[in-house]
Amino acid sequence: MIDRITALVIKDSLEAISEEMSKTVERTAVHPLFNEVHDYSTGVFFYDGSDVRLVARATAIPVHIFASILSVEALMESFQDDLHEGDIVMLNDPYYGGTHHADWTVMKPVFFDGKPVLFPSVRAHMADFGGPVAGGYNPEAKDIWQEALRIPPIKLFEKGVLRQDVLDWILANSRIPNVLRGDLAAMFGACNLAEQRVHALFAKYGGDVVNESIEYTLDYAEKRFRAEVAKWPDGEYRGSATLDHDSLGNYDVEVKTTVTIKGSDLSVDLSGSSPETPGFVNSPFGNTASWVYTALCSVLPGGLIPPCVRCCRKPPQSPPACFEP
Amino acid sequence: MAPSLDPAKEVSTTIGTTLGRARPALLRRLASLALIDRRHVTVALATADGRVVGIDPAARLGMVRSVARTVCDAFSENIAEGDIILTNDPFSGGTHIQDLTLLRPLFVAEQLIGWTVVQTPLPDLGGMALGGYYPFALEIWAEGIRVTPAKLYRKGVLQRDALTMLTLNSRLPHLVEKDVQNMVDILELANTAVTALAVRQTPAVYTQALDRIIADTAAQAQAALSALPRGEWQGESGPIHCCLEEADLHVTVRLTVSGQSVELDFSGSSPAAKGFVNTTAATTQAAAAIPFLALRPSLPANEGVFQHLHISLPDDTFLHAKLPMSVGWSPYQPSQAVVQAVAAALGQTYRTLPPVKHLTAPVTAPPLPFTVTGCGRPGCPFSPPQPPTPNP
Repeated sequence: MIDRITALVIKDSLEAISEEMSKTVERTAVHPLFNEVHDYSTGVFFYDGSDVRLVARATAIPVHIFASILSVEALMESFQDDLHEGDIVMLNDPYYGGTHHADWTVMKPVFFDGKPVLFPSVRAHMADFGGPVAGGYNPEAKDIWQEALRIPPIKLFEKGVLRQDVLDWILANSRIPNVLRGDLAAMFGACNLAEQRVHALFAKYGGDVVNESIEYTLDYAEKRFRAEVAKWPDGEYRGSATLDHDSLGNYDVEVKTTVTIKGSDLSVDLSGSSPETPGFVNSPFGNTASWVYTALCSVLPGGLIPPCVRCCRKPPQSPPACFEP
Repeated sequence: MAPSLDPAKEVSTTIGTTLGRARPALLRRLASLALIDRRHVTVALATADGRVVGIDPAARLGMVRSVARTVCDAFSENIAEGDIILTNDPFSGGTHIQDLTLLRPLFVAEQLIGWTVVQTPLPDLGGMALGGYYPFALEIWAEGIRVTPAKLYRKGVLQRDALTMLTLNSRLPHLVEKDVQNMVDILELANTAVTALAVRQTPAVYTQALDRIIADTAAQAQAALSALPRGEWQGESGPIHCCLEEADLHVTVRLTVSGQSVELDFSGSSPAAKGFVNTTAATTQAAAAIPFLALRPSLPANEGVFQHLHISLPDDTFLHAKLPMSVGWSPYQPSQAVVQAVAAALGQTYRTLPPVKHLTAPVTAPPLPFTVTGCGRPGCPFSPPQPPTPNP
C-alpha cells in the first residue's frame, strides 16, 4: 500500500515534468502560436495495460489535453506490440483522437519493465499543413479531404532514429516547412526531456512505486470527483446552444445536452442535437468529449479535474452522438 | 560449340520480355482500372544511377526518367535490399499528384545493379476534387497530398504507418491499398527475372550491358538527328484554356539543329498560369521527346534518346512549374500543346508536318470517371458549373 505523501510527491513530480515540457516548447518553438498565443498543451498519460488516463498536465488548452487521451489510445491500437524505446509518434487526424487538422499531437512512450507505461505528450496548433486554404480553415470544405493533410499515428522516430523521409513527406505538405520543422523539433525535444525526467523518477522510487502512486492518485481523483457529484441533487438537467450556421448555408445547428445525476454517477447525453451538416462545424468525439470535460472542470473546485477514464466514455447503448465522424 | 550470346543483346531481350509480361500483368490486376488513365500505367527498368534502360509504354520515358534520377539521388547513401520507395510529388521529378511511382533497388551480392520502376495513376489522393482534377487550384496543395520520396518497405518490412498515411488521404482507400499491393507484386516479378539474369552474367557484365544499350540508343538517336537539315525552325501550339486566366496560353519553341544534336528552346511560351495547366520540367521534357521517338520508330526508348536532345526551359514560363504551382492537367492539354509545337517545328525540317494525331494520342485526355467542373467559358473542356441548389 503506497503512502499518501509519496503518492503526492510523485504526482507533483509528473505535474512538474508537464510544466517543464511546456516551458521547453514555449522557449524553443518557432511560430508565435507557441510563444505568444500559447496554443499548445503538454501532459503525461498513463497506460495500465487496458486504459489510457491523463495523470498530469501543465496549464493547458482543455480541448487539446482531454482529446489527447484518444490520441494515445490510437497510438496503442496502431502499434500495439511494435513500440520501442526511442519511438516518437505523431498524429493530427481528427478521427484518430484529434480535433481538427491544425492540432498535432506528439507522444513518446516511456517504458518500465519492457512495457510502455507513461506517455509524455505535446499537442499544438500548427500554422499550416497544406490543403486548399492556408491555415487549414476551409469554409467551403464538404469533406475532410478538402481541408488538409491527414496524419494517422506515424512514427517520426523509430528506436531513437529519425525517419527523415517521413518527416520530409509531412513537411512537403506545409506552406511554411521550415517553421513547421522548428516547431516539431521543439515538441520532440520536450518529449525527450520528459522521458529523462520520468526515467529519473523510476530510478529514484522504482517503477512499482511510481505505478502504484499513479493508481492511487487516479483513484483519489475519482473519489473526490464522486464526492463532489454526490453533493448535487439527483435528476436530469437539460441545456442547449445554437450555432448560427455551418458556412454552407445551413442555419441554427443545435447542441442539446442532458446531464443526469444519480448519486455519485454523472452522465452526459447529447442525443437530440442536430444531425451532421455539410459544413466544417462537425465535431469528432475527441473534440466533443474535451468540451464536456471542460464544462465539468468549470463547476468543480479548483484543481480537481474529472477523471478521464472509461466512466467518461459514451456507454455503448446510447444513441450515436451528434457530429459523429 | 554454340556461339556465346552478346550480353547486351541478352539483357535487352530479357528487359523486353520482362516489361512485356509485367505491364499486362499489372493492368489485369489493377482494382481501380476503370477510374484511371490506363495509358499512364508504366513499367520500367533503370541502371543503378537511375538512367532508364527500358520502359513500357515508350511515351512515358520522360515521365519516369526524372523520378528515377531524383529518387536515386535522394537515397544513394540510404538504400538496402528489400527497400521500396514511393513518390507522387510533381516537384520531385513527377508529373501530377495522381501518378504514383514505386521503385525497388536490385541487388546482387550486395551490389546495387539497377532499379525496377512501376508507375500507376491513383483514383484519388485527397484535395478539393474527387479524382484530383481541380481547374481552380491555385496551389498544388488544393490538388491532393504530396508524397515526396519515402520508404514504403525497409529491408523487406512494410512500413504500415506510411501506407496508412497514403490511404488515409484518399477518398477511395481500399482501391489505393489494393493497387499499391499490385504494384509491389509486379516489382517482385520484374526483380526476379532481372536479378536471375544478373546473377548468371555477373553484376559487372550486366551493368556494362546496360551502359552499352543506352550508348547504342544514343548513337542511333544521333544518327537520326544528324539526318535533319541544319538550321532553326519555330513551332507554336494551339490555344490552351485555363479557367483562371482571361487569355489562352500557348507553347512556342525554337528548334535548332546543329550537326549531331538539337536544341529545343521554349522561351516565348506563355508565363506561369494561375490554374492547373502548368507543367513541371519533367513533364515538358517528356512531351518534347515524343516527336523524336516517332522520328525513328525502331529507336529503343531509354536514356540514350535524350543524350543529344537539349531542352531549354526558362523559369518564367508555364512549362517549368515551381512549387507551389498547380499542375493537375499537365499530362493532357499542356503536354499535347508541347507535342504540337515541337512537331510543327520538326515538320518544317522535312517541309511537311509529320502526322501529329498519333503523336498526340498518348497525351489526349481520356473520358474522366468523375465530373470536373470548369468555368463554363467558351473553350473550356470541362463541365459547366451548375447553379447552386436552394437551401431547403
